[in-house]
Amino acid sequence: MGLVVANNVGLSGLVAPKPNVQIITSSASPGWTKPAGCTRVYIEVIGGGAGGGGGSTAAGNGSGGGGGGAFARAIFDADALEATLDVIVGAETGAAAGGTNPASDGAAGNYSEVHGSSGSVVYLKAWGGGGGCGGGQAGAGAFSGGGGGGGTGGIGASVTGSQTGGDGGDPDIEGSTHGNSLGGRGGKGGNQDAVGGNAEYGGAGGGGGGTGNGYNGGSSIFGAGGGAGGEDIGETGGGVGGAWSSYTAGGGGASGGDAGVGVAGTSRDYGCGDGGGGGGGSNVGGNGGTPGGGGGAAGAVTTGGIGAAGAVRIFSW
Amino acid sequence: MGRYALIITATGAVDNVIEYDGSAPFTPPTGMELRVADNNAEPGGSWNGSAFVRAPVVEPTRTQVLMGEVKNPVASYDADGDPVNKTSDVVAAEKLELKNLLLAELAAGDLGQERTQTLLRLERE
Repeated sequence: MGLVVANNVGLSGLVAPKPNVQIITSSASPGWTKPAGCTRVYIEVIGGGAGGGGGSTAAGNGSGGGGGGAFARAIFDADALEATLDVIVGAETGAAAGGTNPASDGAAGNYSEVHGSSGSVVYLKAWGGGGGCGGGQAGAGAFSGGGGGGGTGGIGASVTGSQTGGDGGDPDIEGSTHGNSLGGRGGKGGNQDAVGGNAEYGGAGGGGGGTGNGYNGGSSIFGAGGGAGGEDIGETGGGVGGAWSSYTAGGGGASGGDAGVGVAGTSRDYGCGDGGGGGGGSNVGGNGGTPGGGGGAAGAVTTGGIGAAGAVRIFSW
Repeated sequence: MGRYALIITATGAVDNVIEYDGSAPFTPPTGMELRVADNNAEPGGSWNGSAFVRAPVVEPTRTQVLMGEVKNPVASYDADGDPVNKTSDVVAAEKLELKNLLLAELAAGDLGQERTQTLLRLERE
């Protein structure tokens, strides 16, 4: 009969193919070898999240959250791929230092990529988010912007010295830098007193710092959530991180409240991670959830949340 | 697992920071080299031959600053941490300066969506 596994679909004696699944978390050359006999290959690539801004020592200086990483996917005819693929997995960021005025900006997120081992063809790539602005960078009375979400065509813009959130990563439509995005474009980072932009396949924007509490990170339907903005000195809490599988800001890592650390975004073996919550009081921002979640911004004085590493998943059958 | 930087050999620019276990075969893309990363390694930064240097700070343009300032009522904070608001003269001057900058950008033909909306608001006031 030629059957190699039990029939569990009950259709004409044919069996559903059992896919070979590889979740790749470390870069390698090659990182994947085409299994014998496979005809289709489905690849998901997620860019790394960016770090949230560090917390300032001065009042009036809430920091911005980091942008989330983008999500790219495609199905290939196995014959169209080289026999082996090299895999690059974007790393998590470092934590942005706080305790100074101004504090350090969050680091930009890193891209993930799958290319042929011959080195000539990049099959799929997803970019990282932009780093959130550190507290105090934008000057007295000016609260920091959040980093832009990563796109499928370019990195999200990092923010330094500005209340204006970073633009989402490419592609764009006629130069539009509007807050919420469609397609592979990253969500725009939140301006001062504004939530991060939502996205479809792009990463979401980080939340902005606020004249009161920090603002929520943006969310993304397929990409990773943005980190939340941090609390200013004397206020009552950071924002909530953005979520994966949502188009409404917030829903990810919880705020640290009045005097707690920002909660880390949820990590997953499927989909993408959520953004980290903003720190409250003098507490750190929450780390982004793996893969791709943006780090939440710090409360006063301390360090911003870490942007999560990216990931590569390859299914073949 | 460790963090390693992919550096463009010809320029020293950091192209990416990657997860790598340090033992599996890994060939950097053509023209790049691999180096153990520290907290200062990030895309846009550089390797100066002995240390990583963070991405350069890009100062915002005057237009970018004013785009935020016109929404920001606070001029400074006093010793108790309470906000001290801008005077109406300062606010009016900031709006006029921003309006003129945006009109100049519009004349050059590259005014984006958010700035167009801001200009329309300023024209109505």
